[in-house]
Amino acid sequence: MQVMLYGVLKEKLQDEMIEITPVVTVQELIQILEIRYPLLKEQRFTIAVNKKICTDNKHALTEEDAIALLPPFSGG
Amino acid sequence: MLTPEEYKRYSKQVALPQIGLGGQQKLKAAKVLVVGAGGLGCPALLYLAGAGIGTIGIADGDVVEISNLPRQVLYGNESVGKKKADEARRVLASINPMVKVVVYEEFITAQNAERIMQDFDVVIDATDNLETRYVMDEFSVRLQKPWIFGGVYKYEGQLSVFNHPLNKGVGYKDIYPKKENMNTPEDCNLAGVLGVLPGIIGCMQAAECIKIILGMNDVMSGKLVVFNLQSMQTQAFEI
Repeated sequence: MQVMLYGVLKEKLQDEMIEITPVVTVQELIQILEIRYPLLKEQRFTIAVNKKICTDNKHALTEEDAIALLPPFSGG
Repeated sequence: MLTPEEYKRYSKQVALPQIGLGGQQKLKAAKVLVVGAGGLGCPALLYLAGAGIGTIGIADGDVVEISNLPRQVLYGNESVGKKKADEARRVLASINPMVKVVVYEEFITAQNAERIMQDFDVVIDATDNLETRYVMDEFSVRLQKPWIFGGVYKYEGQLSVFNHPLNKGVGYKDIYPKKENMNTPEDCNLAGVLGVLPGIIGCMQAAECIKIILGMNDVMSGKLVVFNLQSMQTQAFEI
């Protein structure tokens, strides 16, 4: 599965896109990501699945889903 | 009604079929509050005043610093050390003396939000911190007003329209629920910024504001727009 990164997360994870082994729920996605990148636990971000923001951790995922991690941008 | 002078001034946008004389009168009758007169607020204010928004409110308690000048394009060297809201009013009066500008030399907080926001039809978020955005999120629902969010980080920007009649109640909290003890994103002073980025996002906010006032349906309500200055890509995420 591909996970696109935005904003500060690109710097923290030092990439624009990461590959992870397929997961079946958003909750599992977060768990896998936090194990691989512990610093994510301290980061604020929202998850988008196929260009739709998903706040339901039980949301089912498939291998083809496009995932995006979107941190808030607060400058202005 | 538009005066002959107003008709002449706004003739190019009146010529657009979706605006016309009726649309220009809507802009003239509109009251827009811009919260923050910095990197996002300066371009938004310039275009709102230029477009003939009848009443523009500016809320900012800050003073101009020399490091603001590359992106806060309402100000010049002579503005350094002066109140941003006052300087913005002075410049806007020169750009379009037909616009009434109301100044609030204070930062928006939960204590003053209702008093300042209640007199306006649309609120533009041009702040540089999350706390103020949660205040605006709460009070926009309470006061039944749409607000236009904008935010930048380095080379990327975000924009959305919240609490619009098309998506009543949908707000910033629906993307980023308020949480304690989380890392606060860096503002432009800490992260660095190229002035054109807030320039672009601020102009997008002014465009959304004008679309809301004109009653256009294709406003960015229910969407989080993400713009990347390096790739020039714009993506819209459904909320």
